[in-house]
This record gives sequence, C-alpha cells and structure tokens, in this order.
Amino acid sequence: MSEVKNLLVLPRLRVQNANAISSPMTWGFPAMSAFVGLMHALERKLFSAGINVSLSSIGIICHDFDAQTTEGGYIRGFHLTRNPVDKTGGTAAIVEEGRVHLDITLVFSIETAAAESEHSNMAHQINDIVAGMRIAGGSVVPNRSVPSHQQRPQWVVLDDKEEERAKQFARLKRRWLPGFALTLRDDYLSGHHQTLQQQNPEASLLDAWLDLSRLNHHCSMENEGQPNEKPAWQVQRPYRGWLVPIPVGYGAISDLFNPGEVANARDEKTRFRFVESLYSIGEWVSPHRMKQPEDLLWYVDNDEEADLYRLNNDYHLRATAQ
Amino acid sequence: MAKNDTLKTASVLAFERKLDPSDALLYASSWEKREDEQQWQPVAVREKSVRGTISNRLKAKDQDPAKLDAAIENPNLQTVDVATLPHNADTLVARFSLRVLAGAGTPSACNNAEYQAKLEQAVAEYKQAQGFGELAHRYANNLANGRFLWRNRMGAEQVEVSIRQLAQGKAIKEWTFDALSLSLRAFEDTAELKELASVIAKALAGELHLLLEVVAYVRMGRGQEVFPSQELILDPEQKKKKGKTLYHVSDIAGIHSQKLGNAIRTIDTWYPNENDEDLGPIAVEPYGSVTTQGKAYRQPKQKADFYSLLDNWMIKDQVPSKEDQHFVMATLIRGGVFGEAG
Repeated sequence: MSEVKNLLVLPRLRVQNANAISSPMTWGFPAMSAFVGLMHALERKLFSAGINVSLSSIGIICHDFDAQTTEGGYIRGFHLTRNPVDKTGGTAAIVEEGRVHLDITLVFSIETAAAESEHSNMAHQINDIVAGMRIAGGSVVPNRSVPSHQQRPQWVVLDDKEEERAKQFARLKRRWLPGFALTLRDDYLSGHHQTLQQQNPEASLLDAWLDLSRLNHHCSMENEGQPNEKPAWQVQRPYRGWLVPIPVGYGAISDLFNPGEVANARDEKTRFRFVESLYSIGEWVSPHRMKQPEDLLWYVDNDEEADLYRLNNDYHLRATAQ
Repeated sequence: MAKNDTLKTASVLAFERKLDPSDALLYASSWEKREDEQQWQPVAVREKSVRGTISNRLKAKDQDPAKLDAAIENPNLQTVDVATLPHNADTLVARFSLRVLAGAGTPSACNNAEYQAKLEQAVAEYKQAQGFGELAHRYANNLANGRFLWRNRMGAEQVEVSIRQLAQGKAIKEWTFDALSLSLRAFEDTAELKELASVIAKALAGELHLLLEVVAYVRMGRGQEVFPSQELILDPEQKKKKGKTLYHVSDIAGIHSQKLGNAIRTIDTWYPNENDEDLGPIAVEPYGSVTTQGKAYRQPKQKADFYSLLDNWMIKDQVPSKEDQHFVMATLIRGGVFGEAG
C-alpha cells in the first residue's frame, strides 16, 4: 500500500441505530464492509456535488458503543421494534433487527487536485454531506457528549519528512483518545491454526477461529504434590489484546452473471454473484499504539482470480515485525 | 401519455426516510428556569418491584370463589422499570434533533430503470403542481403541538415547544409555540407555523440543509411519572426477570426515534371514512394502520392503500386525487421497502 499523503478526519460522529448484526455469525460492531461501502457512496455523492476527490481507504476509531440489547445474564436479546399493524389489523411479523448507537471517528485517505487553500472548506462540505447519509444503516445525529470544537472536520496534509510526519500523527492520535481502532489480525488466526494442528492435525481454520472467539477456561493443579494442593481455573488467552471475530468481505459461491441475468437482483446494471461472508480475527487497538496512519486504514483488496472480495488492513505486518 | 402496458413494478424498491429524528432524551427542570440548560437533571430509569394482585379477566371455569381466593392469595410479584421527575423539579424537558433530507421520491434501491424514471417524473410533476408546502405545514404542526410527547402531553399543565434551526452547531432561528393551544385534530395556520413549514418544505425540495433542534418543556408537577419508550424484548428468559424495560441512552431516559417519527408523520386525514366522523389525523402508513386501535384504515379492497395508489399512478397512468398524491408522497418521505415479491 502506498504512503498516505492526505487524511480527512471526521471526528466524533454520533450514529444512531446502526446495524449491529454484522454477519450471519457475528454481532456487535457493524461490519467493516459497511464503512467501506460508506466511503464509496460518499465518493459518488461528492462527485455529483462537484467535489472531486478520491477516497481510497478508511479507518474507524470507536469512542462509545451502546448495543440495544437486554442487560445482565449470559444470554442477550436484541431490543426490537413494535411495528404498525398490517392490512387486516393484526400485528405485523417481527423482523429481528440488531441496533447499536455509536460514537466514532472516521479517517479517510483522500486525494484531490484542488488547491490546499480549499481543503478546509471541502472538509466542512464533506462533513455536511456525511451528516445526511446513513452509516451502517444508522443516522448521524448531533453529538452532545463532546464540545463542538472537537467535532470539527480536519484535513491533514502529511509531511514528506519522516520526523514531521510522526509529529503530525502523534497530534492526531491524542485527539482520538479515548477510543479503539479496529485492525485486522489474520496472522493470529493462521498462527493459532498452526498451534491447534500440533495437538490435532485435523484442526481446521474454523476451529482456530472459534477458539479465538471465546474464552477457554482450563484447570491446573496449584502446588502439585504438596499438602495445600488445589485445583485452579484459569482463562487461557493465547494472545494479548482485545480480539474479536469479524467478517472481512465475501467469497463467491456461484458464477459471475451478466447484468440482468438473475431475476430480482438489486439493480440491472451491475454484474451479479452469490457470495458468503468471509471471517477473520480483528483486534481493537488504542490509537496511541499505532506508528503510522496506515496502521488503522482499511482498503479493498479483491482477488478476482480466487473469487474473493475482501478488505485488508496492514496493522499486523508492522505489529509482527516489532 | 399513452397507456404503458410493459412497465412493471420493480421487485426491489426501497426508500430512505427523509425525516430523520434522533432519540429524544428526557431531563427534569423547574418551569421558571426551564431555559437554563445547566440546571437540567437527567431523568433516570430505575427498577421497582411491586406486589400486584391478580386482576386479569378470569375464564368461566376459574370463577369458582374457592379457586379465586386461592389465586388471590398468590401475590403477583413483578419487577418493572419506572421513570419519574425528581421531587425538586416540576418540568419535563424532552430534546431531540430532526434532520430533513432532500431527495423525496428518489429510491435508494430500485432494479428497474424505466420504473424509476417514471417515478421521478411523477414526483417532479407533484413538486411542480403541489410543492411540499402542504406536507411541510402538517409536519410543522406536529412539531409545534407536541404530539411527539405522546402520553407525557396528556394531563400536562403547560407545554412549550421551542424549535431551533441549527447551522454549524449554532441556532440561526428560533420559534416558540404554546403546544396546548394548538389542536391535535386540525392543522392550524399561524405566521410562525408558516415560517417553520416553509423551511421544512425547502429542505424537502433540496434547496437547503436542515437540522432542527426541538425542545419541549412540559409542566407536569413534582415527582410525577414520565413516560419514556418501552423496549420490546422477545426473549422469554429475559422477560421473566422484568415485566417492563424502559429505554435509556447512557442512563438518561429516552423516547425512541421511531416513536417520534410516527408522531411527526401523523398527518393523514385523507383516508376513507365511512361515516364521515371526524377521527383526526392518523400516521402515514401504507395501509393506514393504527396500532392502538388494531385497525387499518386504508384497505386494499377499497383501493385506498399506498400500493394500489402507487401502482395505478405508475403503471396504469391513473393520476390519483390531490389528497391521495399527498398521501403517496408522504409515504415515500416516510420510507420503506415497497418492492413486489417476484
């Protein structure tokens, strides 16, 4: 991935009723594909509004997370909505919807031919347009939990000099605290897969994924062989950090059809293909641990020969190199 | 225009809502100092456990006195959520923001280009002939009369609604209404309402970005119960624990945005009415459904529902009456998924 030159920061957006069902197997924070989708939709909207910029990657820092679920206990249920009656006057069927309120900062890598003097103005226009859009299905509402000067959009031109760049990024990171950025940890998944295979050669990636998605408790004897011997339960955590199972894109399960070939598709101008979700492991990382902007940015990394449409993030490349 | 036999309803047809309210958060204040935001205290939701009595209607076989006594001996224990004003505050403050988006009538998803073109043409004709004035006037009324307070409005001594137009986080215009003097049955026409309606109409037409902040002050008396939204929980295990769960956002009681939206779009007075009774406006819904009455006023049999009207308009080129055009547009502004199953 090339070095990012310009960053557009839309700080502390309050998103209400975003979709909390991120894939068939995971729930919680909306899927990253929703934010990349927002980026594409935004780029098109900006183009039709006469603002020519290109957006290539996006980063998310989450400051607050308020899932609309029941509280307490091991089992959670989504708070649902009671819908108006149907045409016969009977109650309408309930479609399960998971909703979540978010407080997030969006970071885009942005390129434009416009002069630098216009940047600040453009950032404000973009902020206005985003305020009228849906983010992961949720509405952007005014954020009352932070003062308005902390909500001003920022356009940062990153310096070419390494040292200056680091300083600029350090300033940005400070503004993003407290918060956590979602990063990708494919390396943990394959690493854990290998660990599992040492015990059981048939262990699959799915086993490794499930194993990382839960807390495993295991029992060991304390002071073994001595009079005060007692069993102790411990949580087994193969890796440090706040790991979560996440969907990272889609894998094809059918051929690629020409536009209009499949009935009832969403539109008749785009090629069509049936897909299923791809999963990986993500890690929530506090921005102060990041070395450079690329660490938190996600980009589209399709492999059309392998029929994969997926998103990628490079945090793990640097995290493992340390 | 020639009758179009080839045009079919799109199987995928969806509209985003164009009136986008936030959740309302509830605060307590005193009437004299209501405008001082620093003095507001958040209304909290707390739990209480009560020992109720059996009072449900009994089946005939259970009406035997001995059995009834046995049932009454069993207390009906329940834990419920409750929210009240504190004892040093007599005024409920409900605050939310309302974004009005442009592009009414433009679907967010439509898989039939011809249909979309037809739809956009019809919307453009509507805009030209009627404009969004009538709809905006009714939406403005529902903001000013405090209908969105629902049960909190009932029995209130005084209700004042203050509406601010925000730009870059600052108020550039403000209107204040005495909500109880405005009727819930009819739509009134004062100078202030006209002004508010005109900015809403402009925003719907895409001539301006509009974000309104609505603050309602409801004088209801110290320690009185207030009514935030109730959560719908399907999980029977969780339900057993608590009979009623109220909505709160970071420990402040709130009213769901959906509920506010329903009140704001309670503008439909054009539904068919057999006995010519004055039933007042109902919320804009494709079938004119009213949940509290368990009744749908716009029946497909009478061809008065949204789908019949839209199909007649788009496919059969039968332009509906002016009133029904208003209704169809209001439904498009409400948003929803209106495609025909293939």
